[in-house]
Amino acid sequence: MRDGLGAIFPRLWRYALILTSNKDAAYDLAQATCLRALEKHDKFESGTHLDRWLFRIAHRIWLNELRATAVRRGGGLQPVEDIDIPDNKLPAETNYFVQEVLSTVYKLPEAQRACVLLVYVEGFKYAEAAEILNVPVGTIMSRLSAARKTLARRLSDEGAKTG
Amino acid sequence: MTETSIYDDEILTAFLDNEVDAETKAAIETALKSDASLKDRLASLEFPIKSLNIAASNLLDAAPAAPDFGQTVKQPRRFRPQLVAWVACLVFGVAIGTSWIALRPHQPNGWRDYVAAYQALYVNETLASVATTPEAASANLTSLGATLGLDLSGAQFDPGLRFKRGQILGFQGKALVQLAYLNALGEPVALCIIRGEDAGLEGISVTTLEGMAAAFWERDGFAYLLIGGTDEAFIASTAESMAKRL
Repeated sequence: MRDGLGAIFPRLWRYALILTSNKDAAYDLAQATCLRALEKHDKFESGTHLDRWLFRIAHRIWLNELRATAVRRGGGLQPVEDIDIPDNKLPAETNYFVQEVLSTVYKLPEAQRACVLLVYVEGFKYAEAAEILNVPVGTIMSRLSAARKTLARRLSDEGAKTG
Repeated sequence: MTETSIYDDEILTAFLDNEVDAETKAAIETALKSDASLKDRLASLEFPIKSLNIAASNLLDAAPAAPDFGQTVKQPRRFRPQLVAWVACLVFGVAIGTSWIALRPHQPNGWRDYVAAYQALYVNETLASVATTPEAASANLTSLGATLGLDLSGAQFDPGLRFKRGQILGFQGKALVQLAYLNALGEPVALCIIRGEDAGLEGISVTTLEGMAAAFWERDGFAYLLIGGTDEAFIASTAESMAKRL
């Protein structure tokens, strides 16, 4: 279990970052998820997918414990976090566009961001994402559809569509 | 109108994501050959997934190392400045909404007490790892200044303070900017500015809030609070020079 956690931790942190939009909060959420997983390791059915189980725990902790007290967008306190992570391997223009895509994703509503990350980045099928987020498959579909529309509209002037 | 209306955006999304059954897939593919508006609708759902994947893979490279999940980590860390700061944000934010106001009825100094309580949660480590460049700081201040409606460029450089970051907070629906600095001792000091809390006070008042030195002044519809450390003389003189520059 510990080895598995170590291997999945960066992906978990990335998911947490997309959820929380805050590096410190992402680290705390990813760590809390791992600790919870260790506590509840007897609940994990070996042979099933550890990553999906962890993502599910992370999402539940975020919803039930951390976000419950969090300040929602549009009210209260909003930390302004610089979450751009430049990549020097890429030409400046490409890098700029890549960052633009990421920051457009950050601006999506939280539920859509989570779906986009799980399906388009992590490559989970709709049914798997639905299980992680504990929602019906139809909800995943409508969130992704809404996300796609927004992303397409906001990014249409930025560069060629590579779908 | 035509075939187009048969497929809603959700089905088209599922089609793009290869999540429709073979029959639907074939039907959409056939329709696409003759239905230009369907093609347009499909295009309106396309975004650069490859770029997202590059960005996402960069994030993976930037991920912090996993904590050691050996025996030691099972003990909760006794002190986590980052978490404290984050939780402080949350607590402070919720306070703005409803509950904290009810829980803390004695706030004779209004917003200043809330800011002081928030600032009291900062420790030297809170800002130590925040790295900024003069350009980023300047952009940060420009953007916050635009939100607040006040030129903040004069707040970037001060002989006794090193600017670390600025963020927009809110107090009872009013914009509140918090500019965080470190003083020469490495202690956190904040300059908080709120719009619409100008009670017509004159001059700079120096006081102690939550055990920290604090200076308070108002001007042109904005109220200012400089707070941090215990050196009242330093806070007073810095407040004076800040008031001149802002």
